[in-house]
Amino acid sequence: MDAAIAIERMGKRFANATQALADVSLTVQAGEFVAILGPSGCGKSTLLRAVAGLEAPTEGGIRLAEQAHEPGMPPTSFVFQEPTLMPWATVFENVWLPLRLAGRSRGQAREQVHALLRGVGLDGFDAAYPRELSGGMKMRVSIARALASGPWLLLMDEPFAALDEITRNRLNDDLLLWWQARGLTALFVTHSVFEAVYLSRRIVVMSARPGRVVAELTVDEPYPRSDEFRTSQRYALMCSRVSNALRAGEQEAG
Amino acid sequence: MGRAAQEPSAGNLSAGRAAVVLPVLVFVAAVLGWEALVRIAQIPHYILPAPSLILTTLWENFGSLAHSWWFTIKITFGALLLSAVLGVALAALFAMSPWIERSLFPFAVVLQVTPIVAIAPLILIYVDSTTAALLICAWIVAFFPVLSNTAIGLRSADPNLRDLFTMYRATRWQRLRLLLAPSALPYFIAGLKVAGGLSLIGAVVAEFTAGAAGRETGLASRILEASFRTEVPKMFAALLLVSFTGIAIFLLFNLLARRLLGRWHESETGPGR
Amino acid sequence: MNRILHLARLACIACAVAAVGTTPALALDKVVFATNWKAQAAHGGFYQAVADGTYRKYGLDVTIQQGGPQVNNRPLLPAGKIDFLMTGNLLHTFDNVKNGLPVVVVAAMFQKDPQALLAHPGQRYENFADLAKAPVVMVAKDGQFTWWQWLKVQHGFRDEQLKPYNYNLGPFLANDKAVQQGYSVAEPIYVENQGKFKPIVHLLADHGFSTYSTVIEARTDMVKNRPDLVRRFVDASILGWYNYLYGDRKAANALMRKDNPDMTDDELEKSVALIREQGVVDSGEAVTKGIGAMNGTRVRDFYDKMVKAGLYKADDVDLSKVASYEFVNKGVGLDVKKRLGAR
Repeated sequence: MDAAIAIERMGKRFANATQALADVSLTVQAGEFVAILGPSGCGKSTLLRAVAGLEAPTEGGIRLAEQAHEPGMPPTSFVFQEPTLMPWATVFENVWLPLRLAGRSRGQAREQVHALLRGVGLDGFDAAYPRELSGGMKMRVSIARALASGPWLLLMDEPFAALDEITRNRLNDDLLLWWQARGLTALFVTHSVFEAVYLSRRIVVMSARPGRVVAELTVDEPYPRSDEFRTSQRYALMCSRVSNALRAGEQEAG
Repeated sequence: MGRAAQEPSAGNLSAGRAAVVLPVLVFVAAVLGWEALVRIAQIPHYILPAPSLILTTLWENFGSLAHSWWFTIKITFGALLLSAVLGVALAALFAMSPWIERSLFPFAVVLQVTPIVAIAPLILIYVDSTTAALLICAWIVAFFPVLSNTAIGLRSADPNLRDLFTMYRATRWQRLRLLLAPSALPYFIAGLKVAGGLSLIGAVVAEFTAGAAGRETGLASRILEASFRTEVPKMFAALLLVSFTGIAIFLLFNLLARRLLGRWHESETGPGR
Repeated sequence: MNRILHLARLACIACAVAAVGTTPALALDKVVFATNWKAQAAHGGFYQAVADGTYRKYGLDVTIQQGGPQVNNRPLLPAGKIDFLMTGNLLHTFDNVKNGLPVVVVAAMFQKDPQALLAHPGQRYENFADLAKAPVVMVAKDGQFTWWQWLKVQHGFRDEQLKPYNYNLGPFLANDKAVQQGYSVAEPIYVENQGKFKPIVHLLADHGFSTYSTVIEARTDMVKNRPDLVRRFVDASILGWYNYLYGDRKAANALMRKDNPDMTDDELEKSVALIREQGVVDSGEAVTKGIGAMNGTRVRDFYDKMVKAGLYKADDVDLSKVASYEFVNKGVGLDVKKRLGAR
């Protein structure tokens, strides 16, 4: 099967001469859940933004395959670390945004938005404003918006890093449900080993700046995953393997 | 049906009431103190009139003062409207083209810092209608805060939201309408609040230097007239109307800010509201 | 010739120093006198009395506080911040008395009010009545609320013509059809200097505006409690005027130029010539009774005219409170005038 995402020897040097990424090569298959793990400043966010088309590589290239997605909409959605909601708009209006920008009126989008809100567990919060919501709820709105445009690729940049553990765990489970239900491909940037192991099929470990891939590990646990996995022996083992790879990567770059 | 619940408390309710009652009480006390001072110290009315005298004078002359008051209000709000429209238009222009901004911004600054008292007679030379001259003077004073604040506001949109709009392939117009304008709204309102008071000041000061006695006159002319005719209580009565207008404008814009921003912006939703 | 002048000047200075040095050190009464404009020839007499020591001789240490375009000295008198005030016409005093301010006129230095309207020549403004048809009449704030109201009622001027005069000749010079206010002894000189033409000058006094001008106002309590001080100030001021008009006024001019650097000697001298020519100061009763003369009949007559013009109601002003005649009409200074050889 042809790769859905092919990153070939990609590098990024910024205008101020910082080399954020160097010689990154990576392929992602359609429907995979891949975590990108690395220390702070290793360029993983830059990598994600490059896949989104928000940054241009200075070396090498990124190819995205044509995959089935909502026609007339962008193929990719991005979820930031902050919910990045429009504070002056209601929850409904925030989720409606991608559809609205594509020309769908409020009436046309209503059913879809409501379905999305139900899907993320925010039924009935249409008219609420972001400042009235908790951190976890805002992040759900953000994800609902990301799903509204019907993308095939979901890019997430440490979306749960600012949330408390209980909320984070719950969102982890929900995210896996949404990913599976829609057959999405997911690229998930995180600095948490535990999160990476719990969520992904494959973990790409990056070194410190300039970031390059130092290891790729596979998590063999089948989906759906549950709390049982989190408290199991194999989970702990996997986490320690990944941690070692991460530490090795840090030392390598030196 | 959940919205994040906000607990009402006895503290909140009485705080709301106290916010109105307390300033009124203090104000009334100050006025009474003023009246007492004038009576006890027997201050002559041509040095400091008592509030009672000012109010009686206001009542007796209300017919003619009301005409002038209306004129001043017209100039004030006319200037404010001009400031708002031109300020926003120019700020949007600046947001779209950094070159235009760099070229025109110095002129805006010059307009801001040149004292209106010096400019007003000049404008009167170039403009025939006194009313137009007054409008221009008041506009000059009120224009810059709106321009400056709105320009900053248009630049203050969340960069992540900006990226989001890029990814969703928003048109320039969509970006302006759905992202930049709402982001700029709190800043615009803040600028408008400042401009509200300034346009009143501008209208009054402009008329001091450039106004002419006659039919089209505002409160400034009445103040001057009373001053020249040594009618001090009348001067105070006209001043009272000016102050009252200023307060009314302030309250009006506070209300406007509350309506437009109250549900979502920190400036209006702070604790205790 | 220069040498002799130089020696003469030195001698004068020496005498002056000696005079000052040998005068017994009296405690002089400090007096503040506020005028209604920047220093000009129309204030000459007062500056003369300062410059040549007349005030000092009368036991007064006088400070002259200028007025100006943005300055309004009038409230300072009832508030006690100044001792004497110069005002341009009796309307101010009528207003004061009407509103219960305790001030009173003690002398009238100008028998004629030099308030005038100026027009361009060759624009058919030769007759005063033509001015009422002018498209633009520029009047400053002070006049707008006083004599302009009289012009409207008495001579058919209309508010539509009115434009504020900001003491800038530009608009008048640029517009042939414009009419502006001015002092007949001052503005025409400036117009000729800047605009290079002689304007037509219509004196309001020639058309019914019969007020005294450049009057000295004082607080009633000062007149009651310190009449001697008032008398000394008035007398010294009268002498100052005689010396200014007919004697050596170089020191006074220099003092005025110090207060008002925009003024030139040429303008001052031309203005003095006009003051004398038009009989602004020394005419009518002043010829026999001395400068500063005033009488109640004329005050009443002027008031009646203003009542007719609708500026006041008949019983608005108690005329007995308007002026105190005890300090003038005594012929003070007539001997000085004769000595200076003036006619």
